[in-house]
Amino acid sequence: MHHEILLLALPIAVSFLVPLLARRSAAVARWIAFLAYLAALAYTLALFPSVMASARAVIVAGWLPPLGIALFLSPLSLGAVALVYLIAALTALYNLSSPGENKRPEGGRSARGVALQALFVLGGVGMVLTADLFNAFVFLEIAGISAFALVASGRPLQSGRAAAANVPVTSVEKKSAAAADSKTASAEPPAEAAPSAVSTSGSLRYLVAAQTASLFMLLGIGLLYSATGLLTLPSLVSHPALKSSFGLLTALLLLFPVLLETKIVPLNFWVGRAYAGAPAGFAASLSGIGATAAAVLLLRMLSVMGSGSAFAGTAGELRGVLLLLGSLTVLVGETAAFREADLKKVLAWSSAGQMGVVLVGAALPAGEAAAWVLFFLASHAVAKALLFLLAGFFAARAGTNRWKAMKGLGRLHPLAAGMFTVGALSLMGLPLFAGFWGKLGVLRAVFSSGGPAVLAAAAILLGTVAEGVYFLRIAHSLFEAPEAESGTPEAEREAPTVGSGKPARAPVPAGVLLPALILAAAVLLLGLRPSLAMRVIAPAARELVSPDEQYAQKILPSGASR
Amino acid sequence: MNALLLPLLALPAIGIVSLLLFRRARVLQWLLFLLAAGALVATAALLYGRWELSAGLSLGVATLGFRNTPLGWLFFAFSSGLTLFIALFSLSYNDRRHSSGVAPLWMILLAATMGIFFAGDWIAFLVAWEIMGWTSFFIIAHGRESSFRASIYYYTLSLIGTAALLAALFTVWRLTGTLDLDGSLAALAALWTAQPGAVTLVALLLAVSFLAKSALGPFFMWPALAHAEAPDDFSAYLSGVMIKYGLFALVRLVLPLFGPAYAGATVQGTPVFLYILGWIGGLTAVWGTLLAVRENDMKRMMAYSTVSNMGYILVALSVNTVFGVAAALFHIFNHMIFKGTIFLSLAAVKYRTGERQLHRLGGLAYRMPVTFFAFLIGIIAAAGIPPMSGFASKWMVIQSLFSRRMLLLAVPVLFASTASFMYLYRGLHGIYLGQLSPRFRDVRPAPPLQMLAMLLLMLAVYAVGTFPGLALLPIRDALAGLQEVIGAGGVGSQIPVTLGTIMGVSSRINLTTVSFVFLGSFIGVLVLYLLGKRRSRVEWLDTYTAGEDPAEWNMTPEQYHYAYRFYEPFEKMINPLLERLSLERAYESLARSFRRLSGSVARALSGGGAGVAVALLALAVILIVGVAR
Repeated sequence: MHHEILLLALPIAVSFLVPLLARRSAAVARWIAFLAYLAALAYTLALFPSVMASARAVIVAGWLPPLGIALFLSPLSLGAVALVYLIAALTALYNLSSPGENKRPEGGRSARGVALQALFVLGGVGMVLTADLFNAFVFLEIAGISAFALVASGRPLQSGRAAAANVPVTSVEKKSAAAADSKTASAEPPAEAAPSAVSTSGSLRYLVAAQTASLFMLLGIGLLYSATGLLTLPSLVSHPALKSSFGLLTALLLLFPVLLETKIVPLNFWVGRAYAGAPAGFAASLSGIGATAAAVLLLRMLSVMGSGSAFAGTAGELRGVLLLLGSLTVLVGETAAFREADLKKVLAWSSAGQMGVVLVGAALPAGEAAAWVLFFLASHAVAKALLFLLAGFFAARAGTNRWKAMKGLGRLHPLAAGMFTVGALSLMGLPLFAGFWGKLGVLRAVFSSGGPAVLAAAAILLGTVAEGVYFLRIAHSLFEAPEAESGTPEAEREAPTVGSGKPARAPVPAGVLLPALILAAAVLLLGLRPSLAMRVIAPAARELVSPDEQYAQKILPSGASR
Repeated sequence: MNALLLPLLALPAIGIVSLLLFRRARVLQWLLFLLAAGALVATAALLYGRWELSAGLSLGVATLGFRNTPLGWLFFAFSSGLTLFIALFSLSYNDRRHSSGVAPLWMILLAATMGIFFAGDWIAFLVAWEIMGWTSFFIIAHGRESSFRASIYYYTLSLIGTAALLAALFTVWRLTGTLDLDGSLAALAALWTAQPGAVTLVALLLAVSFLAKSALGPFFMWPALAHAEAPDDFSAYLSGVMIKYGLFALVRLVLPLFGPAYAGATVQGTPVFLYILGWIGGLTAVWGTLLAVRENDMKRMMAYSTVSNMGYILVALSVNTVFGVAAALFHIFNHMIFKGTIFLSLAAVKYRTGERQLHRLGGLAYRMPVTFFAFLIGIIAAAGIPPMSGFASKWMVIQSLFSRRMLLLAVPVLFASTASFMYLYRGLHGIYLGQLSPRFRDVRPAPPLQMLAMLLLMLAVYAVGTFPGLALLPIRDALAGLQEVIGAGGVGSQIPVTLGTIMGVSSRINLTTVSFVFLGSFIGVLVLYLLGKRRSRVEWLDTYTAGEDPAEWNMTPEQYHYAYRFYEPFEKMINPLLERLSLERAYESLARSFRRLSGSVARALSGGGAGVAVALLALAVILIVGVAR
């Protein structure tokens, strides 16, 4: 039996074992999950040397495609899997601790939540590893359903004002928008709905959107199968061309759910509430694992459509549209994040904006930006996970998700606030941090393609300006003195010591500090020594640019495709 | 690991270690900072003359190249010297009450500054530029909300500048295929005949970026916020060193494009592009002066004065001759020194009194004599009066205009220069002369270390004023290598200068003689004063209200103080102009519209079923239109 199947088997095992073993205590469940992800990460890293030497296919249970499942282990897929398991392990570590006053195990902390989270991880890993479109669809569905359940399980924070704080601003905003100035931007809205309205409505939106998109993909798969009899990506590469309009339609249908998962305009209306309602640990997974895995799948599909002869010419026609959608996503994402009062929503919209940059990079001809898009994706996954975890911690300490209420928390927990700043600066694309190189690489490729791509570059640069302002606003407010500024210029600026008369706050729990430290260290390391990641990313990019080389020879012995 | 690379790497490392480990050890942090500043001065001494030195920092995906050039060395040496004096001051200034905690970030900023000045390729320049940006943001904001607002204003403009810089960088890369600074600029300059539009675009983008950083043209308003709200010792660094980055980059990156290879239109001998920049500089000089006159806050006033001085420098650069560049560099150096002196004395006043408003101060000369002298020397230099250094550089700026017969542009420069005396003297009188408020009766003079820093700076101002060659000779040597890059030959291609004399187009002045004449007269007057009749001390009386109570007229004593809104008649004259042409209002309305847009976008995308339907419809339209072609 192929031992590589462990990559998929471990999360399945967790999701099945946890309800059996953790009847009494959710802590057992959380530990099982953490250890399993850690083992999976170690296993993935152990597989690296052999896969880097030569990519290989794993046919599960001996059933050849197109009936069976074929896993394709290459630098790209294994690298993505490693990233997914890293974030899963760190999120599980985060869930092990209880950073707030929240006694009831919510969301990802209950046994049920742990099982669902394992399924989500399975979905993410699967859609990256598989070489078959139908399998990708199945894994997308698994991820979608578990995400829906997990988002819906988010509970508001215990303190009273949190109930109102988690309700999204609706009509009140409209009335005050006309006369609004920045200082009075977020007036307390009246509680228009029940406390868990955000979670429920967010998850419902996500469900409706994801299921509709999945329906389209199923349609596309059906059409593709009826026309070609194939579903495996590699075989599509060497298949004779489909009729152009048919190929186009199929390609569009296939891309729908992936675009939705990666928050591309206009399919990202679910982003705000879903992230706001999700528990902090899962929000980190949703962004770090979900969006990343979907983006990798998107990149592979686009590379096949670009070079593959089954979709000959499709990518050329899609390229302009994808560039436009990507630019719009960047602009929309950064603009929407600017005024948000809820920190999780800010981070969610920022994610959308970054995915827009990924799409712009992916839409460039000849895959010029492939390596840098992957680097950008990796740095985004790490930085965003860091930000979401710390946002959860700060929200628990402040009792609300509103970032203005978190003012001054940085003085009590300077290390945590410092790491938050590191993550924010990385997303802004500033040097000494990972995001700089990714953004620089993508921008360079955009500029050198010339023509309409320059408009995309303008969108990305504008997005950077907006992003800088709102991230620095939040990062700095953590360090501001929480008392009102008095008239005397000699306000006390040193951090209050424990003996200063204020009640000493509990220190940052290890379960929050450790993952945050690891992720922050990764951000700094990638920023100072980007070549470390390029060792894996360079071959992965080659695979994206010329998929036929890798796929056709490595996967599928000649008799496999009909 | 040579003298270039070691400080570049060591400084941020020490800064980060200091940030993480020494958060509570305030004195240690500032001591480290002082040592770092000293090390930089030593590095400058080591690097002098070794123009072949270069270093590369390999990061696998890119190599950051650094090169020791005369121009970069000049800026580095000047700024390191000023930083050392400020570091001396800061060690004393940052006691328990006033500590701003910015020393670690400032150390990283020092490294970024060095990186900017010694950058050998575009990526190194960009990396250093960006690091400078975010560290300065956090330093200016230093954890206070009012300072945050000022800092984010500055940083937004800086981000816009960075976007333009990125666009220019990639355009240059695409056009020339190389990232090496000198190589790509030479290749770009050679493209004037083939692709004038592209080169102009690059020049424009770079100009936008650097004008934003140096607060020129439409970006004049951020120093008043940022310099004023920053920690007081850092304001001296902001006004002294940081605002010069844009001008350095203009000389390094933009002027070479307009060298001998320039093949476009010229106005009065200088390229059109530079001529327009010159007028922007002149108008900025006037604008800065007018706004400074209105100010009641001493730091904001001096910030506008800085803006005004940047205008003079840009004017000198626009004549595109070696003499002009020398005048600009000389004024940069002088401005660093005298503005540093002024801001440090303001910091000392604030340290002792806690006040920044002019009408609440007064008479402090009797309590803080050294601080008073420092400010006095500083404003004499700022006004351009001999024997202080400001005179020589302003004279050379105007001479450079004469060399191109650009007499029209000399008008705003002379106006601004003369009118500057209005606010400079007001600053002196408002803070140091006049009546001492009873609140400050027990104010002690500045601490010894602060006085030392101010004394050294005063000495520097006077020394350069007496011996302008001290600064001009290094400048001339540095520019010797640039002669083939900037307009060669013709008028103004030499910088005749000796230790004590400056020479221009229309005349020459032996400043040493002038200075000694002033010194002689001063000593003569002092002797007369001491030999004069006996003086008796008289207690001050609060007489300016002549016994009336201002509350009877619904005024507070402060509003009735003579120093409050001192120039009200002048303000009434210029206010209509300033109101109508308010760029701040334009920016403010732009920011407001963006905020409103952000709210609508977020709401539109969170809306219910209607939003979803619109979204899907929009997608369908985009796909059909985009693909059906």
